[in-house]
Amino acid sequence: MFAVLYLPQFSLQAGLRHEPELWAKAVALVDPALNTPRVCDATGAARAVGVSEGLTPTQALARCGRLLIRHRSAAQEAAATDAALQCAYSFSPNIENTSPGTVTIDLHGLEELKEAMDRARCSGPSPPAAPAAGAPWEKMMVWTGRLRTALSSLNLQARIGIGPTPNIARHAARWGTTVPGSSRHDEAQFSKSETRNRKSEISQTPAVTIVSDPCEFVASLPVAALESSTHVALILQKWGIRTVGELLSLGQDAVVERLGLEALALFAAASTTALRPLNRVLPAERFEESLEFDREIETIEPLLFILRRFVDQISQRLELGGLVAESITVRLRLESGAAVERRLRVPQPTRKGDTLFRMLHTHLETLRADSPIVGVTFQAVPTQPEQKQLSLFEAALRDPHQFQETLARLSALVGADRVGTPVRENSHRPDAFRLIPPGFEDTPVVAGQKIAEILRPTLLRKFRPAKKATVESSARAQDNNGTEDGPRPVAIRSSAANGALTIALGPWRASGNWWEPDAWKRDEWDVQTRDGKVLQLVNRADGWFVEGIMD
Amino acid sequence: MRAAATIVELRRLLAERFPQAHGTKPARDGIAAVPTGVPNLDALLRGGLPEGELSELVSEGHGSGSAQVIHALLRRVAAEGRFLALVDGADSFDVDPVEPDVLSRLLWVRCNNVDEALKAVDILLRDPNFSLVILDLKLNPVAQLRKIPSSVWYRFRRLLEQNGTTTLVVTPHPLVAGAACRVSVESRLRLGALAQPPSAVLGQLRFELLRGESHEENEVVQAG
Repeated sequence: MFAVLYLPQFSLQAGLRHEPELWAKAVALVDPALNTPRVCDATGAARAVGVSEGLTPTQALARCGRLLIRHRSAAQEAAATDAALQCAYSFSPNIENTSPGTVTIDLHGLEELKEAMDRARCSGPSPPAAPAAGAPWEKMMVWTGRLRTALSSLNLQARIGIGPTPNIARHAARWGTTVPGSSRHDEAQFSKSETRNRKSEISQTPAVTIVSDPCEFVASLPVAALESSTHVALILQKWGIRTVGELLSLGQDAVVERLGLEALALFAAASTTALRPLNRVLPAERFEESLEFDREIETIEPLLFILRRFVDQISQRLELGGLVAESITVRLRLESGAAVERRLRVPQPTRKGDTLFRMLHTHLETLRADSPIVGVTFQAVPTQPEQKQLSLFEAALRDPHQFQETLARLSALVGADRVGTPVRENSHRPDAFRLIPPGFEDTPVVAGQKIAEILRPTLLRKFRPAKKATVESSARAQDNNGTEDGPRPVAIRSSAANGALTIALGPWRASGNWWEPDAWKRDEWDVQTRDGKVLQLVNRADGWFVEGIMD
Repeated sequence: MRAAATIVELRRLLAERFPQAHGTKPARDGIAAVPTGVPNLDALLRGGLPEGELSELVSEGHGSGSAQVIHALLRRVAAEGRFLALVDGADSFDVDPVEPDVLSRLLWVRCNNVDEALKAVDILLRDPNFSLVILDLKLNPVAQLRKIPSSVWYRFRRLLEQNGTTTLVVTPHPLVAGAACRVSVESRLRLGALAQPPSAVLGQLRFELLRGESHEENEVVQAG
């Protein structure tokens, strides 16, 4: 058995996925890729006032002054395809991206549906329109209900067809009606929370169609279901052929003799037994949503509004895949043509929408752009969630979730590389450290005595970056052992201190990484100015610098 | 009459909400203290910083010893198995002399300016996980510090009341409006201090209470 997810009006669904409230309004989708942009789809409200495919935007607006024009977007269709595939993959590992808006799922091997499929194989046609409780078909209904609910959470409305072959399942999803040999299950039966304002193609057909008698079902299909060319369709119409059954009754050889090779394809499409291997795909681990605004945005509120929807969508998709986000990227396209992009690393990877949104909010609060925003893209980089053994008796943190959120917001404020717990690098180079995400719950408590033992003088405040200095040196100097050495600093001029030096202790020489390009070498001095400032003065290859001051 | 009753009620609510502003704050005997690890300072403050309050350490000039206080506080917190958040307004914290075990109890926020630092503190004070937060503004330019509106400190106080976070602000001059405790550190450490043992250096630190309750004089001292 196979199931096919069919997303009717796919381009329009992709375009309105982040604005589902627009389904109740008159909206026309225009394809800007055409030489003369024309309407390629429209909502039910737009069709009700005469807007149809092929009209130019001007003609469409003449028919409906309140008409909203949306442009077809390849990026949004790609995102919708990703979302549909990721959703399907969470139900079965064997899926096929059959065509835009159509996903085929192989149901073989799904333990949950095994009984229903066995029943279908053994006893033939049997699905009742209203299955009894506990019946095997009911499990199929529950399964399809869950699938449609998952798709609804991604703002995708799908029709599902189930049949013994991929071809039959596709016909059932696309053309599923109350034809003999199929059972129809309406939308309201499974998902009451879905948008009820879709008066177009979506709500005019059943939500789930299960084909129990393939021959009868295919025979009842309209000839258009076989997707013949216009030329052949015209001939069949002249012959008075309306259904696939009427076509099949003519006989394959006779039809091929008159219509040519295309007739073979028509009969193959009408086959009830032909099985083909699925072109299995793995859904791309791409979690990206984008939107082009109708009008330029100059304030943060509308941007946050749409970003909240993006975050919720991405969060749902991550949950379906059992993944978490390790970093998020927001890209703003400005009216001037420039783009502002910021990548935020999530300190503790999560898929919690609130946490990710607060990170974005904190960052965007400080953002200033040169010109208004015309488009936004939100992207999350997924990773596997980290498994952690929790403490049995105590927790160092009162609210670990709040802690992760705080870290995320701080990262968004100052940058991920500027917040965390410092860890010294394995180097003798002074001030060599990196910041890592704090792990307070895993950190052992340090004994007070040990702390006292390891106490060392700590008297400096660092200048980062170090302050450039001009230093006058004496002709000769003595090193720490009293032997003659190089010149000794006697006066300094810098933004940290100016004037003569009363004391200069040093130099303390250090070097490292001489075998690498970033070799370093430094002479360090502890000096005191006349006014009592104690400085850490360093002579490096690129000159003198004040690196710290005693405090 | 009705307006007067409303005003009386409003005053009562304000007194409950901001007891210190109305001189009705309970005696320190009922308030726990957070030891700083600096003997002179703990002695002056009757055990340490007032818990769940906003305190200010004024460090005028150079060599006053404020960095010593921060490091001593970090070590003390680490020894007790707790952790602290240091919001470093000028990215001046020196990690080299600190042992890894102590550093592992530190959340360090390296800010570029005062504005970032204040926002970081605002975020931290909304998190109940942090019992101690240090805001170090010692090396930030005076021009930036002058732009801090006093309402910021009152907002911090409101946040402190919610989560009970003890907060210490290190400033180059008296700055924090409404601080429960303001102490000036007035040491003059010179180059010779580098050769002295740490305990001796800590012992040299001299403090003066500018606002709050002292151990020696069990009365409120107001200044600035």
